[in-house]
Amino acid sequence: MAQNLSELCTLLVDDLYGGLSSTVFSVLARLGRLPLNALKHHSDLSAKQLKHALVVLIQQHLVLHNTSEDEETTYYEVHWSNAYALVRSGKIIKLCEDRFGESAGGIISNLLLLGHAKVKDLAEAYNVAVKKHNEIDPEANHINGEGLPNGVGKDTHSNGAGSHIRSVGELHRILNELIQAGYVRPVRDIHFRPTADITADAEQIVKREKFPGGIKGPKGKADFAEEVNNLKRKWIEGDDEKPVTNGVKRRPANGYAPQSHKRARLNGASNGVNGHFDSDSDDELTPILDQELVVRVNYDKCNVGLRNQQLVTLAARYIGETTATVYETLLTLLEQKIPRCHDEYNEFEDEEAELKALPSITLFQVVNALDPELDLSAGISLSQDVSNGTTGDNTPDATDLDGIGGYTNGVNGSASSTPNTARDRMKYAEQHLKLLAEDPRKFILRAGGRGGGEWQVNFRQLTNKLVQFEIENTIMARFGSLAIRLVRILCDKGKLDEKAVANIGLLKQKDIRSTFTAMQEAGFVELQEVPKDTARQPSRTIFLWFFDQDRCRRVILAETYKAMARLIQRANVEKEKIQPLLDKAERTDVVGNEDKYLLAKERQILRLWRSTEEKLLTQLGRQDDLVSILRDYGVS
Amino acid sequence: MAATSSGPSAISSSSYPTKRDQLYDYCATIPGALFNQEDLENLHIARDTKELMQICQELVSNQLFQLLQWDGDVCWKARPQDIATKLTTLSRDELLVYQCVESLGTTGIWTRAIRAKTNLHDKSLNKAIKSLETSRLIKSIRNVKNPSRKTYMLYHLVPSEDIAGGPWHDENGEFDIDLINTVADLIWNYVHAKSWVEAPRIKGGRDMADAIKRRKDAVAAAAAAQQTPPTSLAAALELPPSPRFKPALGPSNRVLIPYPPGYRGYPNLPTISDFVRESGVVMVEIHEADLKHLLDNLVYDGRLERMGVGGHMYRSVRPMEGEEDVGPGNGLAEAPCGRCPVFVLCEEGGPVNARNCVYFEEWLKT
Repeated sequence: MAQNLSELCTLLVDDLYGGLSSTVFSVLARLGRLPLNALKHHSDLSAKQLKHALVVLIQQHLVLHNTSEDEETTYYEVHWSNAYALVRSGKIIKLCEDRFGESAGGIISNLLLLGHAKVKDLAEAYNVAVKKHNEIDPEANHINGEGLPNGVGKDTHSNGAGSHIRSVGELHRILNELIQAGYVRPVRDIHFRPTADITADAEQIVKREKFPGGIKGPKGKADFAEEVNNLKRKWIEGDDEKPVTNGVKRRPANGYAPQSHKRARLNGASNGVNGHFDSDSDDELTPILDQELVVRVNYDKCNVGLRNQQLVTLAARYIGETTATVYETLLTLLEQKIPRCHDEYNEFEDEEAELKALPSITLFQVVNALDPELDLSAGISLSQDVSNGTTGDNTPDATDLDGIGGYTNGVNGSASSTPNTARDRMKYAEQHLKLLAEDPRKFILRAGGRGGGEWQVNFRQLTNKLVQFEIENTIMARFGSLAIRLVRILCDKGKLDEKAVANIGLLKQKDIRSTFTAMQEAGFVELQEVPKDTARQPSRTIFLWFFDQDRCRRVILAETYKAMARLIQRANVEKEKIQPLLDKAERTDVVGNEDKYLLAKERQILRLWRSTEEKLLTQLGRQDDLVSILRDYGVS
Repeated sequence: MAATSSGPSAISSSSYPTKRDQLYDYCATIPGALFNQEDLENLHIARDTKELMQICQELVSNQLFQLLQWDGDVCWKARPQDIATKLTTLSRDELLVYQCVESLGTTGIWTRAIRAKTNLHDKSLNKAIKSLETSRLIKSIRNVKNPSRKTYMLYHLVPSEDIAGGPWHDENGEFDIDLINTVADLIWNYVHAKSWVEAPRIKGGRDMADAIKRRKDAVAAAAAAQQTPPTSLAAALELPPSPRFKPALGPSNRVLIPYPPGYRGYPNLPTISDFVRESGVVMVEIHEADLKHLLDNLVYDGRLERMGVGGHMYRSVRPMEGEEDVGPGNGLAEAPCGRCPVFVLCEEGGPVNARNCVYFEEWLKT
């Protein structure tokens, strides 16, 4: 897996930051932690070039460095997850655009490009942008032009126009909003150090200060681990910074509700007056951020947002679009209370404690946050609806016997309630939530009756289901539906021999053997030998098939990394093929006058190439979805 | 000697054969029933116990009676006349084997168990079995639990269910895949029809299928008119955003939507059982346990899902267009690499790589 990942990450760095950076990155990726001297030795680069590359990589948070106190040497090592996250930039920008408007998307896009930036510098960049319109555009496009980080290259093109910030106040307002929401976080020195070093330091300090007599017994060990975790958390997140509670406190003060994002998005940049009004009124309430504050995009929080999108997709697949929209609203509300998918500093003792600690959202909150345009009566059968008037003879049994009955009722219901009244909306929203809770996938859990009903989401369980779902998808596509039945039987019953599987699955033994063997070769199922005696003869041995989810997850993850690298390589090959033509098309005299200077055939070739590249990049984005499900949503 | 006793037995007491026939006829009227000494005495056919014993002994040696032990008591069972006739012609070994097979009834007996019980030599045992088989007194059956064991049973008996398997097995004791698939499809259709409601007609009589068609037309028209990306044009025409999924449509070509929460009309085991029985597809009786077995497999296949507390109701998994055989797929499965047979060999600079990949070539063309 490490090899595949390092190949992929090197390709990504190469694509975005050029050959020098990627050479250094690749050495560090292959050989691990190295000091400058060793780096020089392995890379055949001069110290000057090396430092140049390291500055870029550190600025982008792709390389971490640590200088221990006792020795003077500085060690460098790659930051895997940040390097991988380069491929996700497009999605993150899109996500923030949807949530916080186009300007926020622009800021995020710039922050991703810069790695981290001072508020002052950002403001300066934007002030320049207002004056010299043309200068920022190539830069904003740089990230698009390179294409790779943006799975959806075309969408981000609109950034150019939408990302203009009109005043420093507006910049601060949006930035503050992003910080409050957790999508952007202040950078601390510690963020540039490898986790292992942080842990080592924390352990040393805790040992010295709290356990001078040494750590004794299992209880001592547990206490020690907790102390270390607390200290690490304090270092990484800071004492003063509590984005979650801040966000909540601020909201009632200025009537700020999540749908204001939606409004901002709907009105868009066209409604300049409105936008200004908003920003002016907010300026008074928003504290101006510290000019020297250094900020960057918080990938952890972005993963929370992306996970929500995946869950919404799952709900849309199994229940329906309207219900999925209600679910999306609920998840977005919950998002404010969830800083990251998997909190490694906050392990729960058991499942019960974890369930108790899950945040909840009430029906009232959901209804208030729902898009008022949304017709809630759609996507659910209203056969038991009161407004229908015919409820008397409309018991579930009656509709059960007569499908058409249910359908006609549905018509009545929707016709009478097209403009959903407030009471109806509440009722329908509740129905949608109950539908989500009733689904066998347990999208939400009922937590209590406060505020019209409280609901929780058991993310760990759902993430597990998402992982299983993707593993099964992969197996299904590769080995057919028979394989799925076999895998689910093994999941359900544990380790089984071939005959037992055949009996449970109503299958012939000889039919399943080849499927099992093929899956074993690919590493999706495993065989356990249980010898009946010490001789371990095959004839006196029981062979049990079993399915290990975590193993499968790793196998698929490694393959996906490799496949992603191939997609990028292929995209480069395709580009190489028509490089001369691309050079011509990008000439300053040709840009804008394509019809005049390019032959019809050349335009055709360019079009073909664009669609090819789009296809490759779309697939890359979809594989990234798979990676995020398998890796980032908190399966430990 | 007849004068002492009275009743019908007294009249016929003079002749043994009649008494013997009487006793046998009576016992043969209830096939398979066991009679102990007391039962037979109460018939008052024999004068006394001694005579009864004599009659029974005679019947046993004629193979008309089978001698058994039950609860420590000796008891008898009548055999059919024709079989008894055949049995009288058997050799000692054959008879021994026959009794062995007979004692296990409808469960059948494994050849090794016969050998252990009869203590016969392999050769003579095989000979005896063979001759019994040819004279149609016993037959070989297939044991579902131990298919490799040679099992025998009396010729006229039907194997019990735990030996022959349930309704899903064919006569050879193997799963009848065709029957299983047919019943599975039948059940799925039945459950599916009761799992979802068709959405009401969209305002203005615009159907989902209609909307999709119009959207397709618009996109096609846009593509024909010029090369602007179709998405922006669709947006310009104010068409609804393209849905993430294409759910399979109901009989009237409208989207299927769920029943309200708390709906209890989803089919459960008894209703499905009734449905299968009424459909008449399966000739034999299907027990609920067998049906549950099949339903479990439909759940494993991802075609049905369990609903309600304890999962006692079944709902069809919302079907999607184009997912029937290949599943929903994902980024890896759809890319050429996800199905590449030489993926392991693929590396930059290796014999197979992204540059010379034939599968990419093919995939990019489609």
